Amino acid sequence: MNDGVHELGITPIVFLAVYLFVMIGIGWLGKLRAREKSLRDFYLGGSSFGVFVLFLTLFATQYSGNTMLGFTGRSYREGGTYVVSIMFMVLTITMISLYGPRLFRLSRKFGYITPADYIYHRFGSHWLRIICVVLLCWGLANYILEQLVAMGHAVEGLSGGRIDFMTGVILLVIVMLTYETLGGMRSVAWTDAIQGILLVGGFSIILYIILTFDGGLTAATEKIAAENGQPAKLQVPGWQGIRTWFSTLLLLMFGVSVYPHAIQRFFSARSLTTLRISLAGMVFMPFLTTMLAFTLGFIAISRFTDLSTFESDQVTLLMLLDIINESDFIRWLVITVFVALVAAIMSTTDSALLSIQSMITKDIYSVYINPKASQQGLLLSGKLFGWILIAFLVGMTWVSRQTESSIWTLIRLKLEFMVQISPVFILGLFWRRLSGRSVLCGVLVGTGITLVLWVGAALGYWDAASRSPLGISAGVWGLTANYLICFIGGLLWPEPEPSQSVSSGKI
Amino acid sequence: MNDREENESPFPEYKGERDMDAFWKAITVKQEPSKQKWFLPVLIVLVVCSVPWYRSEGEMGYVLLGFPVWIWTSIVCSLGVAILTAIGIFGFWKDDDPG
Repeated sequence: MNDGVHELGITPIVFLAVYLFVMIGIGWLGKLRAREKSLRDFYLGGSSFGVFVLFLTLFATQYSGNTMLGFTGRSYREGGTYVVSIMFMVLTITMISLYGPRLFRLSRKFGYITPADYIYHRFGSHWLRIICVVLLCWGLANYILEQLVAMGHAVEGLSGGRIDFMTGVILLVIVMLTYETLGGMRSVAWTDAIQGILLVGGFSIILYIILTFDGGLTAATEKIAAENGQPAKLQVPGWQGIRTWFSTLLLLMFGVSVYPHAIQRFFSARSLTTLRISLAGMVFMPFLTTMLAFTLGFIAISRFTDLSTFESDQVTLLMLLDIINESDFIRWLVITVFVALVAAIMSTTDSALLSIQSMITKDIYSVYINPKASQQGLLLSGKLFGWILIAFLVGMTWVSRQTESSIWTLIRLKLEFMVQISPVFILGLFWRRLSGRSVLCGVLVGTGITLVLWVGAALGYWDAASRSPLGISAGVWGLTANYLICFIGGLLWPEPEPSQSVSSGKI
Repeated sequence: MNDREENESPFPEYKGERDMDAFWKAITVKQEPSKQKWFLPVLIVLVVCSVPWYRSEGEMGYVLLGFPVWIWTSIVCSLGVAILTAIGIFGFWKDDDPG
């Protein structure tokens, strides 16, 4: 799709260059505003974010390039049933509103920097902390990988093929690492604020396109039903589809709500009021973002037939390039959407990378490898690790490009494992009887079942589309076993009363 | 941008201590959405209604403003959950800011 040079000339490249320079400038400002060389200041911005920054950083982090590309592609492939995406994004915030009040209170009282600080404090298990960090980092690394793939598509599309896929990835990664290394969370959140505003602009333009071109949604639906021969995409699914629908809801609501970079953002809130206002705003954002991505993919069904999975992940770009020559005004709108797309991708990638760095530094390096390291030493090692990791992931992106891996497959790989952490928060904050041993056992068994089911899918035991039995995702099967073990363990082998609890032991 | 002006961080930093008495005392929130008896049942009803299990397979039904009604039903239920969550956050999440 991006082989040809489109009619936008070099204007979008100039736009992109200006945007990237602004991002580096903000990173520099973040460095100037740093108050101390501490982990809290670097990884949580000193817990100082007001409503404006906190809301926009939550928004820009939650809605990524995947929302604009992957969600639209999935909607194109599945049709009406992907309306599930609106509910699962709302439910993510609902879940946070359930466990958030307790976790926020604890984070303020005890000064948590990473989610694993809570995990160790609550359960006192070194192995549980390590396994949770591994699972979270695994999920986030996949998340970054998916964003890097989206970066390549976005820059290639924006430049009309003048900047190739891998050059685009490397260019954005260098800029992102620069501002992140300069100012940590403060720079990331401030750039997120700009990126969030661009994202809102981008989605508003998509809304305009949906409403105005070729008769809008109504005409598209008529075409899907009549001409394109794809009425199945407008019809109520069968029982397999219904099971998959519920399974998707469970996987996403439990999985996305424990994203460590989202949890760290509410550790960054200046006050409870700030956090409440930001979360209440966030719960309505799926109607501006996910719903529009779903609708755009839905309309695309009427315009494009027989796109492969890989091509359909770029259907947003195809739709934009389709209308680019309508007028000068439309050209500017399309450029804005492309820049917003780049912004969305970068804002999610930098947040995930910063979160991995904080967990490796605070939960692994400073505890098990170099307990005597100074704060400055910890910060340096975290940055170094981040650079090495991203170099590895850029290499993986190249591999992904060669194999034309679908963005959605990558998402599923991360969530299926990350979701196994959810009992740690959902049960751990409410049920005193839950012990570290039970949770550890539950997480291990849940992850093991998920792995076995994935291997089963690879060996062809169940159909390639669902990758698990009965259309219920592997992660949900694992999660069911995980919660069962936690409940049984909590009932039969409860956590000792506080006075009996033992202080931290050796691993 | 909205940053605090003080030079020193007012927050402690967690360093691996485990005083569980303090932990369980600190966890008590004045009021929270999960403790409202109506919150979870309403949430579950809305989520279950958002999935078209009660309709016949292959049914498309009426098309309203471009989407079949079963799609609109799911969107309206999602809006219901969003409103419910906002009510929970604003009306039933009350606490002293421990920071």
